[in-house]
Amino acid sequence: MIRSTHVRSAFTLIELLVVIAIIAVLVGLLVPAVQKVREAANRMSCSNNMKQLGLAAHNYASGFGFLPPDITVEIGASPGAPGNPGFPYPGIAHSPQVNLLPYIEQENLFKLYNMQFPWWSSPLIVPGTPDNQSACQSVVKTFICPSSPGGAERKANGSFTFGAKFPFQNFAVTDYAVCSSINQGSVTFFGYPSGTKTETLYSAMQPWLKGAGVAALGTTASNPNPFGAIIDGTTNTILMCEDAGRPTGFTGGTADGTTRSDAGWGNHENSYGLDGAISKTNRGSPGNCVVNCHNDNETFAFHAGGANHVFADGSVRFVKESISPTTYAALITARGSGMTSAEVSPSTD
Amino acid sequence: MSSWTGLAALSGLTVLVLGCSGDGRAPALKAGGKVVYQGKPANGALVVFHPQGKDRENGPKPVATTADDGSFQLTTYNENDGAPAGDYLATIVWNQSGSKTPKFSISEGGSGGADKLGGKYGNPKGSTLKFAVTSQGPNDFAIDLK
Repeated sequence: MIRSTHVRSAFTLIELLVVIAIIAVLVGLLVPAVQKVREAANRMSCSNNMKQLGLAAHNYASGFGFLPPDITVEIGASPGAPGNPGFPYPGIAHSPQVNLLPYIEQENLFKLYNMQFPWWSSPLIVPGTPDNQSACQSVVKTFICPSSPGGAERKANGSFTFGAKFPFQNFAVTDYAVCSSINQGSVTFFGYPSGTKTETLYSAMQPWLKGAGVAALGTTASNPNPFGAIIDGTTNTILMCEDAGRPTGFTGGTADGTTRSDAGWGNHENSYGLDGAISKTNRGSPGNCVVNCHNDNETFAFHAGGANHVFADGSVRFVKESISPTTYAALITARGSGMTSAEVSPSTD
Repeated sequence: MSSWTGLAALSGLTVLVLGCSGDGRAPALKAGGKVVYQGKPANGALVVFHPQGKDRENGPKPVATTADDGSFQLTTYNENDGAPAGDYLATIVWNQSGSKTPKFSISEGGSGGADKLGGKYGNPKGSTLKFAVTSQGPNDFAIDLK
C-alpha cells in the first residue's frame, strides 16, 4: 500500500485569499455598471411620470378649455372677512399639482381636497374647516422622481405666513414644479427689455390670480392659458420642470444644509421664476447656469448632464445643463415671440 | 528605445486630447468698470453684457451688480472671472430696491421697483452702450450715463 506523503485535502489560505480578491475586483467592476443601469431605469421612470403629468394637463385642458393653472390664488376685497373667498382663511391658494390629481388616477384623493379652501386649511387651525392638509400628506407616486435621494419617505414641514402664520407638517413631496416666468430682477439678463412684465413672460401653465384683493399683492389678475394663447408654439414651450430633491436643499450635487418648506405637492410654492445661478457652487443670480445648479426655485434634477422637461405638446425632452440661458428662457415663455433672438427658434439641442 | 518613444508619444497625445476635451467654452478675461449716472456712482445696478454676433448671441452672458462706488467686475462662469473676448452691447437697470426684494409675497420674485434710469439703457436691442472685450485688456469700462 502506497501512502501519499502529501495529501491536498483543502485550499491553502493564500489560494482562498486570491480567489476572494479576484471576486472582489470583479464585483467592484460590476457595481458601477449596475448603478448606471439603475439610474437609467430611474431616469426613464422619472420621464414617464412627466409624460403622465403632460397627458393629465392635456386631459384637463380638454375638460376645461384651458391648461391647468400654475398657482391658483383668489383673494377677496377684505381678506379674512365673512363672504370673502376662503373665509375664515384670508384667501384661497392651490398648487399646480392639485389640478392634475383627477387625471392621474387620484380621483379619491382629489375628493378629500376642498377647492373652496386654501391648501393650509385644517380643522387643527380653524375648527370646522376642511382638512386639506391631511390630503396633502398622501404620497402620490407620479409626483416623485425615483432618481431623487430619499424617495417617497421625504416630508416637508414648515409654515406659510399670509396674514397669519399657518403651520403644516408631513406634507408628501413632489420633484416636479412649474417654471412659470422670468423673475423681474433677471429680465434684462435673459435678453428682454427692462420693464417687460412678469405677466408678458408667463409660461404655458400660468398663475390664475383672481379676486379684488389680488391687486394689493402688487400683481394683476390673470387667467389660465387656452392652447391658442401659447403663440410660441406648444413644441417650444415648457410645461413642467424638475425641481428635485426637496425638502433637502441642494447646491450642485451636494446637500447644502438648508431645508426647503416648499416641497409638498399641495404647496402653491411649487412654482418659480427663472433667475439662473452663477455656477454649481455659487448661487448668485442672475447667472448662466439654468439647469442643475441648485433646487431653490430653479430647475434641478439628479440626472447626469441635464433634466427632464415635459413640453406643452405633451412630449418629454431632456434639456442639457449646457443649454444657453437665453434659449432656456425662450422655452419657458409662452408669448415671447421675437422679443429676443433666441425666441425665434429655440431648440433643446 | 522605440517602444519608449511610442509610449511617450501616446501619453503626450492623451494629455493633448484630454486637455482639449474641456467644455469648449470661451475663456473669460478679466473685465469690469464703473457706472456713473449724472456724475454720481450708481450702486446696486444690474449690468449685463449681451454678446454680439451670430454664433455668440445666445452664448453665456457676463453680468455684474455694481458696488457702492459704482464699480463692477463681470461674472460669466465664476464670480468676478470677467467676460469672453468679443463685442458686447450692455444693458443697465438700476432698480429702486434690490432686484431680489419680493413684492408679490404669495409667490417668489416680484417687482424690484421702477428703474431709476427709466428703462433708457434696459433694451439689449439697439443699446448705445457698445464695448469690446479683448485679450490685450485692460477691459476697464467707464460707463457715464446722462
